[in-house]
Amino acid sequence: MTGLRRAGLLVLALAVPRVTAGQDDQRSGDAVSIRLEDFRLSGTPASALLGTSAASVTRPNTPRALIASLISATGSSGLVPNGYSLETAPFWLSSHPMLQIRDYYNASLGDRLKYFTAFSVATSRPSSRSDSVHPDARVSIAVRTLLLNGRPSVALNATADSMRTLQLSYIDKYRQWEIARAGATRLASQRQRLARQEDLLSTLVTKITIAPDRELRDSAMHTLARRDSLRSVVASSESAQGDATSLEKQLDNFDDRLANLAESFSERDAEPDGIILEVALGTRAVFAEGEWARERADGFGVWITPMYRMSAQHLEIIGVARYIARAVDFDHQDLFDLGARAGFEIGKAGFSGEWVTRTVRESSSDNSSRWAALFDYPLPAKFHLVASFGSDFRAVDGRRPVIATIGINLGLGAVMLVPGNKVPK
Amino acid sequence: MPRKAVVHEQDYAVSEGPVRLTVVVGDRQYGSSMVFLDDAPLSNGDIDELPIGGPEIAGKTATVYTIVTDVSDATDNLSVTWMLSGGRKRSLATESAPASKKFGSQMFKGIFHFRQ
Repeated sequence: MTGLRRAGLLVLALAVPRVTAGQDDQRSGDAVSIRLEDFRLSGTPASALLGTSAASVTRPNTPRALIASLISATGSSGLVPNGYSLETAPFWLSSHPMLQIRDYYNASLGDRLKYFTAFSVATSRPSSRSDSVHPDARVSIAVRTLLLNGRPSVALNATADSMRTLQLSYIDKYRQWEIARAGATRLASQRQRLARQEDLLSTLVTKITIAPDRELRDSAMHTLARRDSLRSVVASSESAQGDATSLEKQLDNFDDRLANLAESFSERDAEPDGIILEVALGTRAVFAEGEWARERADGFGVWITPMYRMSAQHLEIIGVARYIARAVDFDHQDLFDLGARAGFEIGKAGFSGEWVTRTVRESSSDNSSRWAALFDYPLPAKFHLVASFGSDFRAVDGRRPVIATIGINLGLGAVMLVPGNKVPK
Repeated sequence: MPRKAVVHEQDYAVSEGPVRLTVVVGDRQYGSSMVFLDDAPLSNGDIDELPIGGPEIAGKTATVYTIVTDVSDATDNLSVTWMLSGGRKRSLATESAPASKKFGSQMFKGIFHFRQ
């Protein structure tokens, strides 16, 4: 299912057949935006409320970083910044040394609310025109959480087992490295002592050669014994140093492999099995001419996203219920979307089908539905071949755009959950 | 070269009962441990209420190696808490360190000298 949910979509249209058979005719020049991630909040809910996709989302995880980010965002100009996006989970602003990973999936509702609740802020202010005053700015604040967080998938457990094996091997090597390093620490001083003994021995031998003397000979014999002993010690230390160097390389290799496994763990941890229920809500305000002091309320949004995943069976079902008041991309009408998507995998290929019905509060004639069949196939270098076919929501002018596209997902950018595929009047 | 271990070293007074050791890898990170009494291996993996020995371990040293890997998107903090019980009084000690890089690992080393 990973490919179907992959955030960050840039579709390069290789061929976009504008299929019209069995559908209403399609207006030429209308760009149909295919948002495969519509069912889930791939970005922050605050950004989704603005209908924007921030280039980057600041995610401070310390109080200091949070305060610094907020101060830099508010600035000293008194104007709302453009394109600011922040998401932070208060619980994770401090350390929790007693929170073990095994507690995470067996948490009570209260604990889940602590672990998963995150607040987000986003701003949008179009660039001012040279012949106008500052344009209005929009700011949204939202919160989201997981009421149900599923259970570890088989893949996650397998990754954890691999990490356990590698970590124990790491500790084993680390102990060997400690011993080897201890044996090599005095190598320099031992070499100096050996050199001194070699010099002394050379001097004594020279003197004995010139003038044989019993005391000199005895002294030379003692020096010879010390020299041989030191040679043995230095050889042992050099061997230990060689071992330490070799073990350091092995530990660096283990470290890299652990990092790869940790990344895989993190990805799989984000896709648990079982029932997952995400809830998000937020509100949006307009700031006249971008000034913080001139604020008025401007809509809100609520998302409820239940999911059920059976990774071993390669099956995933996602539902969506969302209400967005004064949707930016829909002429500020109130929208209610209700739908579901079922996906499965065959080999590497992912297939899914989705259906969503949309109710427009102010204009029941604009009520519509959307269905689509989606295909995703992973390519080398984390690219994805994606294709879709279906019928999009009815446009304001009554026509129903056809969904028909094939392209390559380059994994760039971020796709927001917004009521998409709006064909302007 | 491996990153320098975060070391915690202390004495622990034994009593009549068996001394038990628990190692908590906190901040929802992933870690594994190996425990040695002097140079003899005692256990590895998750360490939970591990019996180390009774009064006879006085004069010996337990060394606990714990490698913690950053697997969390929420925090970069890595921490280990050692809990000893069964001696004259319970002991709880925590050490922490930030991950050196995303998905990085950190070695923690707990050294406990048992005495009467």
